[in-house]
Amino acid sequence: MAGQDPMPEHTHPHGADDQARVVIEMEHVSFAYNAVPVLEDVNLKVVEREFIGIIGPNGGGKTTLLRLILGLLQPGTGRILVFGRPPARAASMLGYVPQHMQFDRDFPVSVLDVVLMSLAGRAGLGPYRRRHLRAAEEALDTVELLHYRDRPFAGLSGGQRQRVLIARALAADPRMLLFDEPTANVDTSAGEKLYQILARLNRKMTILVVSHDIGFVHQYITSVVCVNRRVRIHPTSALDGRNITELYGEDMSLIRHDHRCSREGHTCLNS
Amino acid sequence: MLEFLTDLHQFRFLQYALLAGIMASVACGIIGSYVTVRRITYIAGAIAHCTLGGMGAARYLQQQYGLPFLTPLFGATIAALVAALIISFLQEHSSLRQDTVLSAVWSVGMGIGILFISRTSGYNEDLMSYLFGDILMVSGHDLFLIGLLDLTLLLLVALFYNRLLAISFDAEFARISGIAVDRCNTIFLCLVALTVVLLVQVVGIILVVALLALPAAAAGRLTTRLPAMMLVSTFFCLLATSGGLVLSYHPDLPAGPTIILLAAALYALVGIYSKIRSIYHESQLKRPLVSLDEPGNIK
Repeated sequence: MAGQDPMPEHTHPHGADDQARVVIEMEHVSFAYNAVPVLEDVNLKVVEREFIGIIGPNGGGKTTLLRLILGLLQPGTGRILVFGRPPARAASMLGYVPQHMQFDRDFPVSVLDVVLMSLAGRAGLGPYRRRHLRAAEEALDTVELLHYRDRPFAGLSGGQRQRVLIARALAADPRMLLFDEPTANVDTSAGEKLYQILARLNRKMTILVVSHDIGFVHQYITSVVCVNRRVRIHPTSALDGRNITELYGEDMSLIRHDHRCSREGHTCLNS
Repeated sequence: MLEFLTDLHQFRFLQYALLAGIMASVACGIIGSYVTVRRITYIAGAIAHCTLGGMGAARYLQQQYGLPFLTPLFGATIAALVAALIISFLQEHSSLRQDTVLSAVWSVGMGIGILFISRTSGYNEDLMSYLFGDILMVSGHDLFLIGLLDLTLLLLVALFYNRLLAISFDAEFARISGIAVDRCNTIFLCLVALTVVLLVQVVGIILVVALLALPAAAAGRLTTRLPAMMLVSTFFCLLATSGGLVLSYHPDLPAGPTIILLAAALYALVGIYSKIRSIYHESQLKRPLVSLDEPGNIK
């Protein structure tokens, strides 16, 4: 983490500068689960060190989009390149922080154990070497939890657990972070803290965040990707957070649709 | 107790039994911990029941064709490994319900075993000792094989510990981070199979699952990291197998069920202890602990 990245001349992710490095390229990508189309004709280009907020209704395909980029799913049609390679071969450069993982409260691991897991594949057989431990501790330091290294993972709060999972992704020294609903099950202040950490990491790496929480996201992101079977990308450099809603009213109404389906919404409709 | 100790000096079969229990405990503590945290005792159960097929077939062939190396233990090992490979192959390459696959492996294995045993003389004794274990019947040859299985197991776990932990905790993330999850799972199920074979010698097919699960579950309540859980679980297994052997010896009770009841008693005791401990801890804390780590909490 201490290494100095050589800075290319055009590093500002906001500009539509052609010379900025393209890190994700999707062309005419479609995906269906059992013949039910989830994503259709997705064209997406993400440039190095962007901070992308992926929003859209539940079931709109946000997580599917993320899983395609991670190489966990194969597109039905179309082409995906991540760092210029097929996703499965770019996996070592991606750090994934899953959506509120269904993790077992009784699972006997320490915080450091969890962070080290991202290195298990590349560490070879037998115990971890000192350099792996160092990488894991550095990653924990980045999320400001180094003093928790020997604590049981199960004893942490939701926000701390999320930070440990970020550290787990960071320990493998990725060039891009993909984040599924980081603020689900996390209280407001812990969510704020998470985004501060992400904003700092964004100086070094590209970040994609799937979130319902557009209010949280807006102050950090460079582009919004709206996913509802189709995908649209909106650069936000020209706007400030307040008028995202006005400018993307159509998409935002899709998000509101969620709320309308909430229980209060139904009671409203019924009354 | 005293009678057991004097006889232990005298009788080789008792020494073998004790040794078999000790060696099986090592495997049981380690693999039982994995099985418990991954919640897959039912897979172990299916493999265990499937070993009857191997034992029955081996016994039959041994008797019919006079092949001395085809011991039931050898047959059980083959059957367990085959069951593990079938289960892991179907997990990866088919969309069959795991439940269905396990039920099939479970009962087909037993069916084969019972068919073979019915064609072999000494039907009832054999069947009972396979189902409920007969640790006093462990031979020197068996002991050698048990030791070999134990060593294989320890070596593999030492090599694959990190990967097994990663895939047990979060298989999807493990896959993304470059672990060959399917291959690791296959290796893991083979380890489970070998452990099951060891434990079948001690407590029999039907009781294996309890010996895998109970000491590990008890250990899990007292520890917070997997290596510690394995160590404590091994210790509990040792207590149960050796204790069960000792307790059952004088009144001439079957050792397998005694061992299991002892393991269950240990589990219950640890459960009560940790419940009391947590109530005590709660009463110590006037209010829930607030983490000072989140800056939002300091206002």
